[in-house]
Amino acid sequence: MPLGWLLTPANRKYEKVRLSLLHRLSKDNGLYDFLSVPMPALNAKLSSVDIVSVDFETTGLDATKDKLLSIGCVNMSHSQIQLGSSFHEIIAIDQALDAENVTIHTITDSECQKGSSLRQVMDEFLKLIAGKVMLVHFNKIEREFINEACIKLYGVAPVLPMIDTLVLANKAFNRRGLPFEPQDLTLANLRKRAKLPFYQQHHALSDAIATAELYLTMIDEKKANRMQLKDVLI
Amino acid sequence: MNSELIEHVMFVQQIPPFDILPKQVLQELTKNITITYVTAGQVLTDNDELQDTILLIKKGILVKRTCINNETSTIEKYGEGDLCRQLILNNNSTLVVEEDALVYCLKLDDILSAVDEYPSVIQFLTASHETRLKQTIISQHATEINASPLNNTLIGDLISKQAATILQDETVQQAAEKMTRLGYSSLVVLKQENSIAIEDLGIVTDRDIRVRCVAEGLPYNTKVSEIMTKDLYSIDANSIAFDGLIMMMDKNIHHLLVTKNSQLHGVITITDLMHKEAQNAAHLISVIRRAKTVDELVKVGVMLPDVQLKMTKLGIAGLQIGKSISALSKALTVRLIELGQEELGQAPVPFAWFSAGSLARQEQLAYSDQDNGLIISDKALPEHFDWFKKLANFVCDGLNLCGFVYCPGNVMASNIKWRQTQKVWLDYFRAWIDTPSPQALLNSSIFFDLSFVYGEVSLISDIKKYVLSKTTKSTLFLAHLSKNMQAHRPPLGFIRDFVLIQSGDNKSTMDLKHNAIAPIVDLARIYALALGIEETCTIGRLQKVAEMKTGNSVVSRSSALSLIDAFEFLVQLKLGLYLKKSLAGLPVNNYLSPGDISRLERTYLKDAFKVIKTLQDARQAVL
Repeated sequence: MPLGWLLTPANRKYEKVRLSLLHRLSKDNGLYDFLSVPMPALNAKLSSVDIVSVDFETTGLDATKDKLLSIGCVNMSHSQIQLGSSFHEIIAIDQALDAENVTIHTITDSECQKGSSLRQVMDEFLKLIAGKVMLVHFNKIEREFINEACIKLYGVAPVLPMIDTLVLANKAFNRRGLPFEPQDLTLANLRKRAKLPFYQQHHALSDAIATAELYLTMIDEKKANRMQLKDVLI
Repeated sequence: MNSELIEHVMFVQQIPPFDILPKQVLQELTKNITITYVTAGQVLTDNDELQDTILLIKKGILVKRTCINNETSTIEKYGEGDLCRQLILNNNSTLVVEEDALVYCLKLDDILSAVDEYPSVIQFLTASHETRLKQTIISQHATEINASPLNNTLIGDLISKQAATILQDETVQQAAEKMTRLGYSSLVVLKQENSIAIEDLGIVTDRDIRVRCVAEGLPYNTKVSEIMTKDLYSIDANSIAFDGLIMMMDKNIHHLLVTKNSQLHGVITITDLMHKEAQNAAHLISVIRRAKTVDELVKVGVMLPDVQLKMTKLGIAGLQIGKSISALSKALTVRLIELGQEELGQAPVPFAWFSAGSLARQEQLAYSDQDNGLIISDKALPEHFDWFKKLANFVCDGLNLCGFVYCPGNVMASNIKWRQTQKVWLDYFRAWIDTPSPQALLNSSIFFDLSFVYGEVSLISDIKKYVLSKTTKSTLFLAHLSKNMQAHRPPLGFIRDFVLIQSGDNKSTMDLKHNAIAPIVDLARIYALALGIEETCTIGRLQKVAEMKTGNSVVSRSSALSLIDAFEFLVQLKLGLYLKKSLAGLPVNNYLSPGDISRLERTYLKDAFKVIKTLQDARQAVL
């Protein structure tokens, strides 16, 4: 089954794009600070790059219609996940949650209403990820929901260099000539294959940590010392 | 940052010592965790990053190896849920990743500031194996106090006699005379006749007379008021007996006034309270002494497993239980010998019945087998031996019926080899000590734990004296004993639900008796024989070592104390295992599977293994 539609083409020119975006923005724009921080260079040694592992819970897969419900993220540097940097926020949305959906992410209506506004959460989240490379599993969701939110809040979409464990896995399967099904590439199944322990699925922070752990099994410190950012970036 | 406790963190929460921490502290703690992934074959050396770091294995296996004289050996393995305390890595050891591992790293400094209000956690993380073991023994003693029968008894119920009084103007001699006549160790001192308001009272004890009068050289006509203790502590007769014990321990006093409606009711001593503890076993012993037939004894004998379980459930210390069961077993043997003599007539010549092994060491538990022997006076004539054979069979059969099954190694008086004259016994010992062979010693080491049960005590004490006079000088003999001991090495540790044995293989169970308790018994025996210590019980032997004023070349004082802790812990664990098996309707044996015990117990058990191994290695180094 062709998986190309899942993947967004590599954005190699992110620094150029960042600078040109920055020139167009006024200083009071919410994205200005985020775009002011330089990104790590493409040829930077992978082990020296600050990575932030991110996961979103949403009401659905379509960023134009569905809503962002929660954001979780955790920092990783020098192949170490720093639990102290954990971030998890629930976003209040102005619609009732779909029952079927709630059974997946287990965020209830009342929890959701106690959450912060999209603006507050995004402002804080952008501060955390500025200058870092995002690590996600299946980058389409995070990329599209961030873009939607930024366009809505700040009128412009940012530039988002990412590492995607799904893409890394997909490449690894192809490289080894292993036959696989799309469901083999889910976070849970890839973790199982890597003999990682079970975890609480569909909780944004838990998934972010789970993704970071999976990444470490794919690219341990030794490998990261030999690789450059451009080898994994999309 | 608002990371709530998600599942990643919940994992930490289950691991001792973190399991006692409240949520907020755990949350604080987890902020300092970093997660790393290490791959098989990777060697984690003691570099800066790992310095003072505690590793918690989420998945995979790490192995701690040591390299001495170019020889690498595995010290320990760490699997899921194990804490690897890097700080005890010394220069010679390395950590190697055996299976790809996901590791939670906690910097010790960070942890310590997060848990600074939880000294037990800090202690657990930083203390040596020896200290940690000591701590668990202390807390074990604390639970034991909770279960004490004293918690279910009122002070008033323990007072058997009214307080005796004396007027404060009477003399010390009059007091001593009255105490002697009444058999009291204390008198309540009154200001005047019939004035028994508590604040006016004093007390004079045996000790006061000795310390404050006789030792000071005061005349016997000194007034009681001059040596009495004023400002007495009192307790209401309706208080729980245990509170009385605590009060006495707290104030370091041995007597308490007991009041009823604020009036003097009696005096209670620390001995009264201690005595209460021993009553259950004492009662059974009196039943044994009155038994008229073997059947009656069997009825008591078959109760012993229950008595033991009950005591275990009450939380009474394992050693105490061992002593009680040993005392009961000894009483049974004595009564069987007496009944045997009633049937067979008087013994033709003097003899001594002894017990060997666990009973001799006062460590016997129900479910043990019997080990005993008979020493016959050298005056015995050939025709006398039949009488002893009949007696031995009568007693050994009786013990078997009582639940102390025949010894599989046939170490019993019913075996003619172990039913001999004193002269033959002396020859046995001389041969074992002077020309030791490993195999012979393996079978005979049990006879170096010998205790008198019945008959002519000198027949045994002569032999014991002779044995110690020889063993203290025989290095070859001690070397052989030490060598035999190496056959019983404790396991390396546990990995998942498996026991890791020396060869590096895994087994599903370990033998708690042979691979943990027996090695300590062996070590204590070797120390006793080397140092000429007469005690037979393991703790007694080790205590004697610890009490030795001048150091000795055999074992250090602190090692002896650590062995005592390890021994107490293991005996307790064994009893708990028996209890669990018996409640589950399983056969009661010494096989422990790691799944049977808590994580915390596993940690302490591993601490005990370390203490044992270190001292076994020390003996090997002597060879």
